[in-house]
Amino acid sequence: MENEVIFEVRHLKKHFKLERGQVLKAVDDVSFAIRKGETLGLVGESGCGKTTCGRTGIGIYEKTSGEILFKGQDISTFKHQQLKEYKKKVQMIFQDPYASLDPRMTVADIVAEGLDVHKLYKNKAERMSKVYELLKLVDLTSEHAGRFVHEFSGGQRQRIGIARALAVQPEFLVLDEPISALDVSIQAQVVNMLMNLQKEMGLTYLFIAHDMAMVRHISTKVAVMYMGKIVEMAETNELFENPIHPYTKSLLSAIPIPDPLAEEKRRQSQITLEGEVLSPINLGAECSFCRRCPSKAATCQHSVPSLIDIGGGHLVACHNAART
Amino acid sequence: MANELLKVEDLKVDYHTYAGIVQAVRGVSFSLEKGKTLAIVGESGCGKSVTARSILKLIHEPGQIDKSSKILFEGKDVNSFSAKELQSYRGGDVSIIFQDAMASLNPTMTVGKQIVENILHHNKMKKTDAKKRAVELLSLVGITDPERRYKQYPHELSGGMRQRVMIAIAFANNPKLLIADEPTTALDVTIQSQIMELLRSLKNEYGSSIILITHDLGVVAGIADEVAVMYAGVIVEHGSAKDIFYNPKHPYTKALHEAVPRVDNKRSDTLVSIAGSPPDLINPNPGCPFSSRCKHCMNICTKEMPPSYSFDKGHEASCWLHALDESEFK
Repeated sequence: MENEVIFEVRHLKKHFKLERGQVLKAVDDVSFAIRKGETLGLVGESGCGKTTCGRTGIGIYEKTSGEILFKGQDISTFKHQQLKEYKKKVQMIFQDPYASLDPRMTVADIVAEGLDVHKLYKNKAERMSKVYELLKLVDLTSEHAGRFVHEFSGGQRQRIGIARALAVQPEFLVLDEPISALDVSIQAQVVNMLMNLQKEMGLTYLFIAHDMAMVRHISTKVAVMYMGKIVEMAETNELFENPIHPYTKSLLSAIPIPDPLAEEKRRQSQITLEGEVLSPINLGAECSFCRRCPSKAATCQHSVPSLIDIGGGHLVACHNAART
Repeated sequence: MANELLKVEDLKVDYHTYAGIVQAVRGVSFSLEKGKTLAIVGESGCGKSVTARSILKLIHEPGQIDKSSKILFEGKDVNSFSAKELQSYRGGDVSIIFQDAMASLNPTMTVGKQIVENILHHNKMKKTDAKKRAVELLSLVGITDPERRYKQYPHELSGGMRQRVMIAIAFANNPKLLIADEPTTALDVTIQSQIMELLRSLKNEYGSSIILITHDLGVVAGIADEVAVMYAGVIVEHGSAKDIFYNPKHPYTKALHEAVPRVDNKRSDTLVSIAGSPPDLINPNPGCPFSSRCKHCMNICTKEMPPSYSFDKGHEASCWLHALDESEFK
């Protein structure tokens, strides 16, 4: 039996109104569901809307339209107490551990902020013992509690951010590029920690990243975004071994492999794209990828392909895939 | 070696700060042959960028290149260059491109003018000829419609195109050596592969040597002939790309390989992480810089800096573990 769906968005749209009546469709008709204990990797190049998608999904940005369901309930129907409870269950970890922690607060106060807001302790002693427990969970010690953020390295700061998120016992975490600001040797530390915590606490993750190798490592399912839309979504190994959408194919073929012989092979079989990502402002009724697509057909310029299941839960938005 | 283009001997760079003297580079030596590509790999703060900038004498206060350090370019000591010699050396024989192209380009000048500036500085030619050459360079680096782009400002270009402009400026005078300091770190992966392809083709066409500074082993695998792995201001291992990728001898190099997942591998359970973080360079301990994080740390590792042990042709690693191997052989 499959686990229950923790988090689901249906036809989520986030459009930003610009000057002179222009519209930027940062997130355009995105749907996905994440089951308990799973990780959905959301990948794409900068500006494709993956961060906006994550933020709109948990309600940091107000959505333009669509539905957001947490454990099957529409979050727009939540009132006061329910909303507070929801915000406790959903937490976020940010990319930049230097910008996302207040430099004037001690580590203890940062970690306990969620506890304070939701009044999750009876007295000061209990507050501190909870803080120490959380710090231990992320491999820091109680000694660190009284210090300020500037005394820590990037990896340690990211772990403080994780402790802060875990303080309120969330069920669902949005990880927005949690490791891209860190050094290689530190990335592995943080990723291992995230994966262990997931196992121990039964957490569910939305992992937003551009590092495809890391996404493959951590995710159970992967969604590829291009210009505000999901163009392909499948189980991780299926997506990496059998990519269908021409954008996914070219994206995967562009990733360098740390092995000279394998890298030589990759370069020979690489699918190089023409041009760069177009501006997502005022898109017409065409496939957003068709101007760079190596296998475009006449229909691609006249209609937007919809995301269809080509079997086994492998979803692709491409006219060519739909035909075969 | 007749083909030797650059030789760096015992490079030391100190930064005099309020907190104390930061020993950013602590005795780095390497040499580079004509037409070869050397990749210097390491984490942030390991001194790889400082090493690269020292080659162009681009170290400013409070930084200081130690007087005993030697940087020989075609046999001439860069440290003793006069201001005028430095001017023709920088951007002429040796060019550099940086990670952040937007910060390196002048936002108030058209990109064409910035290329012309570098051409005219090093060559006596008419402005109109220099302009023609600049347009040629723009098309050489793969910019479509170069005449139109020539008149544009950096903010009108995308990140990938700005990096192409930087490369055009760098190649304006057919440099013998190009230093590329994290040239693709700020770019998306599809653009990164375009830029690396461009560097490869320019290298083949002009026969330039390249020193590539990066933390991405994938990028290294595609272009490097030789690799130097830096950690805490020293080169811990140096060898051909094959040595470093297939037969690494230093625990740090091995750990780096194990810490990155490969996109062509199935999901595995855990990455091998390197515990701890790099040491403080104000008061580095006298032993091996990696000792505090090393799985194989022995008593001697914390007390004495390991010497460099040689393996196959040109493959060297500084690690006490290999002292054991040697005594075993005897």
